[in-house]
Amino acid sequence: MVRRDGARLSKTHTGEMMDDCRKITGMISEGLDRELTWSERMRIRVHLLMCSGCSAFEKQMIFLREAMRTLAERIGGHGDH
Amino acid sequence: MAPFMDARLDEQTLKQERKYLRYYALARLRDAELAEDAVQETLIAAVQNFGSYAGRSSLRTWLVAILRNKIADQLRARARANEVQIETLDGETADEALDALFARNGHWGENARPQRWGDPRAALEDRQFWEVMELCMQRLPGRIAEAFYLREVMGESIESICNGLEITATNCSVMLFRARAQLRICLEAKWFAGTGRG
Repeated sequence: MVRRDGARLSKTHTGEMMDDCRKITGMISEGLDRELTWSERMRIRVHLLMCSGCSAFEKQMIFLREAMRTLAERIGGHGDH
Repeated sequence: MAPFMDARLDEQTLKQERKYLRYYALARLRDAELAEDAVQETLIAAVQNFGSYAGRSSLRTWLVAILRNKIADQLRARARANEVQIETLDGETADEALDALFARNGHWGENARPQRWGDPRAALEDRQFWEVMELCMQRLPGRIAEAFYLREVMGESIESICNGLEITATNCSVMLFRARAQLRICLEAKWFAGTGRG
């Protein structure tokens, strides 16, 4: 299903429309590879307010990126995102 | 004159590139000995064929292209030897691997919910942490490890990774998501567990 703003919502097995953790963490991951739209960023923000698991996931992804940059420096990779 | 024309294969350069290539090979082959072999063969081939290096790409890009061929040879040899079929359809099964983390309604599955890690940056100073990181990276399936490595260590764009690995952008995103999710779990279990719960 496509909302008016073009954002796709996932459909859960119960048929209700909502942003679930799988969708949100996938979006957080994508945010490391491309610029998210304003609407995507808002959906993440709203979800993180309510979800400690996804909040931890987001912090850890930021850490992982930093760790990989450190690794790149250690082994002489580019690491220039 | 091509911009990289003055590149040289002196001992210093070989040493430096060797380190870099080894990580690449390790991510792909997940076997230190095989990775070492592939890198050795790459450097030998590079020295022998340096005359054909036209300087159109950076030296490293050229070396990685050779290495990828060597790795492909290794993988073919392994498949021929009828060992475990390691070249599974990683991209296609990435979705299934993620299924294990989430309940059917898309919320965190039991025991899969990320825990707080306290101050993880302190780990970056710890030598043992990097050993754990290397171990965790080696546990990623080959193609997924390669995509992750190209993205995070080499800093390549999604587009160039998709082209290089001949996969779609969506598949690429799912593979990277899986790599990150799996690394996260491995690091939490092997390093951060219990440190940030207070």
